[in-house]
Amino acid sequence: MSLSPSTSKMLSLKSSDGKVLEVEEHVAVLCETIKSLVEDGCADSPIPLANVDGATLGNVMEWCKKHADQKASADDLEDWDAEFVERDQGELYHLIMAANYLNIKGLLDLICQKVADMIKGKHPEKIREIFNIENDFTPEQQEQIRKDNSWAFE
Amino acid sequence: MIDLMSNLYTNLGEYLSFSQSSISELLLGYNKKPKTDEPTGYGRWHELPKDIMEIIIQRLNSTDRVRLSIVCKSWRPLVMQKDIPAAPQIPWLLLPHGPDCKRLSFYSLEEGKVHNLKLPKSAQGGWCCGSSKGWLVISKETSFKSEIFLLNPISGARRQLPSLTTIPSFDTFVESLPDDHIVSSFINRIELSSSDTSDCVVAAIFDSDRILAFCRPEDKSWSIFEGRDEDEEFIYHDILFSNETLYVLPSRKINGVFTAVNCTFGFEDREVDLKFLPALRIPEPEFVGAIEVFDDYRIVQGGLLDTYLVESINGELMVIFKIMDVLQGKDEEDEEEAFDVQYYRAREFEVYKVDPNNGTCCMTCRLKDLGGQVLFLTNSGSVSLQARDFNGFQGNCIYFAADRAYYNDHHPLVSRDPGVFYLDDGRIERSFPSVDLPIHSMMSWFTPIPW
Repeated sequence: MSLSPSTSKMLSLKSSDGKVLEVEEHVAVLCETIKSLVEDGCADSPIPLANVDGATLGNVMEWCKKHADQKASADDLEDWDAEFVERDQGELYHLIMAANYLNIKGLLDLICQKVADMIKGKHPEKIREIFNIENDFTPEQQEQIRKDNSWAFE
Repeated sequence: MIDLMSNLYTNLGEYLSFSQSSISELLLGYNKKPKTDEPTGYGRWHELPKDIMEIIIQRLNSTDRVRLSIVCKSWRPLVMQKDIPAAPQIPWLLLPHGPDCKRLSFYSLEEGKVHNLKLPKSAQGGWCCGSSKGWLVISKETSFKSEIFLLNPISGARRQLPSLTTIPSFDTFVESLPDDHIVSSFINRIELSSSDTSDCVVAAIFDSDRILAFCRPEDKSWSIFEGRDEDEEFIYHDILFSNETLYVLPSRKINGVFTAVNCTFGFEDREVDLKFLPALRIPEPEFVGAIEVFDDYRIVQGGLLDTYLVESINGELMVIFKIMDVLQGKDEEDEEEAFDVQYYRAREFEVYKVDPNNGTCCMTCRLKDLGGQVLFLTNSGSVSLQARDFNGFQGNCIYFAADRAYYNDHHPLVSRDPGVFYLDDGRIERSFPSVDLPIHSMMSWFTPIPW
């Protein structure tokens, strides 16, 4: 990582599992949560991010770095984002929660769109399998709902 | 307050133990993609916070939301919440049906399959004579008594509309009907102001496009718009609700200067803003006019014209002409041997933009390009969508269907009319399978709304 202290100050971010990440301020402030801390002058000590683990924080900052790059064109970002979201559902879950906690609208929208795309056109069984969700309906409830909406399951 | 926040963050951080040893590794690995063996594990998706879940489900269409609603209990109430609008979806095509059918069939272009929806007992034996915002208009008649109601075929919900007998000209219309005609041919168009029938206004065109009337679901009678003065008589070609205003596309029966006017129509305890467009002052498209005459029949190229009012994806209004070739035949029993319509087929479409400032629409407003839009056009309401949002659809084209009911003795058993019109080169592709078209039935686009 090339440091350019004359142009951008570095911020320390501390993840829930104690990992500390040095990030350029102009990258980190894409997180609204961090931006308000910086603006309020509370960003001197390592900023503890209690709800984000180190691996996820690394991913989030990777996205922020790309999106803070003024030289990146819209097309370039779109391609890059498409590759960025190619992850397993566990990683996507942690990214969604982190984007929500750190208040990064662009990243939250991106991951939510990816999750919506993973749901589109799929039957309930497949959706449960992809997201590892337990079917907690009783067989009777399940049968009634299916009967009422039989067209959706043909 | 600021200090409090700062302390909160610091304390939360201190609370969680961490090891310094991994820092350098983390820094070195900063720009690398995470390894797959990193311990992120499964997400707790069923516990996803409500506000995040809402962002996801507003990107899903009705079909996907119905499927998602039976994945797990915690998702169901949220997914079926009606104040979270469903994402746009390619409308289904309601296939023609007879009055004795027990189910309605819809063709989904997106999924390439037919969905059969069972009709509730109370709705069986009726004709579907239009659709608007997720509701079908069903007309049931028993020996010249007519009952009409709205039906959501997905949820099974039903809302009664006032009887057609509350419209003064209805009796005359019924008396003048030939034996084999049906009362529901009195209904030309029904348009809802919103899909929420507890708070919507229903606007309707009746009686060969001559009457504009209003009601709310469950009202006792229709309220007729009488025009702004007694001498005015209109033919109403189409109506469209946009932002709570009803746009009306009329033409006058007598010639005269006509400019767009706004007025308010009050009925019961409701008021509706009306905006009349003078759109039909533009010269009607030139008919090709060539007539091929045979013994008992003739073909008139461009002999029939339908007019549609459509809202673009950007909220602009468009007037669309569908120009049809007509096969006309002589009725052997008719002594005058007049030709009547036996079959029609679209030959061309013309699209005009309505000027948003003054409501006018002129020859210079003709559009040759719809941009990325794909239109789904029928007499019972049309839809415009952004083609790039849907796999397999291209922009600048119009999907059309056999949306006029036939009212004659020689009704065709099979229609080959439905197809796609491409604006860039004017070609028509008829890739839909042929459909049986029973007498009095028609096709219409329908966007399912499951709540």
